[in-house]
Amino acid sequence: MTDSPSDQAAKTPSPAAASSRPAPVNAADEQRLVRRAQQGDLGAYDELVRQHQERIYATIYHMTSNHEDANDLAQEAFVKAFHSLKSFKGGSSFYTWLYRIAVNKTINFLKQRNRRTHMSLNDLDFNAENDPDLVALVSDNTPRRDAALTELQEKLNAAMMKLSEPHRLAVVLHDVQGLSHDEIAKVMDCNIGTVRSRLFYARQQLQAYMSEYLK
Amino acid sequence: MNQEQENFEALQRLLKLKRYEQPPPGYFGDFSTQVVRRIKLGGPEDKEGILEYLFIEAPWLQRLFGAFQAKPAVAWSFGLAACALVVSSIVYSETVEYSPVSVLPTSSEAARANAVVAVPMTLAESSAESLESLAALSASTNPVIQPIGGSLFDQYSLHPQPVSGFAPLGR
Repeated sequence: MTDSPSDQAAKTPSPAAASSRPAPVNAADEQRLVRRAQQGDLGAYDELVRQHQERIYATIYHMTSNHEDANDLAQEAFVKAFHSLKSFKGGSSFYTWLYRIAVNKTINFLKQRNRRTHMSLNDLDFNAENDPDLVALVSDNTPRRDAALTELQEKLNAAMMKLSEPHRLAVVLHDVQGLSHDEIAKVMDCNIGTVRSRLFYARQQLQAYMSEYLK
Repeated sequence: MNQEQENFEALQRLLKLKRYEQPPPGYFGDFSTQVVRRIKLGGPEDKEGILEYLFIEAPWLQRLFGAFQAKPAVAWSFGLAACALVVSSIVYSETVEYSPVSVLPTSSEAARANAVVAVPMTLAESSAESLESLAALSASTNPVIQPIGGSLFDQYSLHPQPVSGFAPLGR
């Protein structure tokens, strides 16, 4: 099943991160790197980490709303993945497998942390102030756009943290990270219908929490 | 579905804000080096349980644990089913008749063996025979099991005999 145009739009990477991202490797090169890493080549694994570090970090960060936690969990996920590489048979793509490890680790962490939510948000990239979609959300209300956006960021993160982990994950992977329903189903190990229903419910919840900003 | 997408368009514009949240500048420059360093040091692998490994390898196990956590009723019914299985297996094992396969001679066989031995004999004959069998028994390296007679006392073939003051004179 294909994604809607808005889904496709969501797949566009973060504008701020695009410049620092290493050149993507093709599937064959990645397979070669994985095979070398399976044989214990840390240089090859370093390259794999560079390829996926931003997306893995971002997924964990958006799930936890805490930079320090995301840093620890992302590193642990990569370490865990390296030690589990021998069990990777290539049945799924490497990044789906990696995502699954990171997501499992994050959900376990969030369950242990329970309701003790402490946000440690990253700063907004200065380009956010020039994004017409975001400007439209705040410019009517305040003369200081950056402060308004920061306030909006806090409200949005607080609303996200009110969602259950599976619902939050569906929103993060689809609406923030830009993964397709099919890819999310593989990462979450459920069927596409479940992904769609979780996404729909999560958006409904978020819309209710953020209703005053969405008028 | 399109209606739904249109309804959530404003929300998706708002969620774009999340993509502008960036870690401190230069953060990713050192990230992979730190990961490799942690791998060389041994990393957190040791402190992690086997459960996490199983969750990655067998996602159904995680779903089962998730169901237990989300719905205690599921955990209770699973526990009850396990208990019922144990109890029913105990009951079954006690009701079914156990017929052991005998490797040792039965009591009737032993009686027959004794009957052969239980012929009248003189004290001297019986003592000599008993001593021989005792010597054979103590010299044997076979495992100690119940002898054919059923009891060690049977080896001596002691049988009550009338006591007489007269010794039979040679014939």
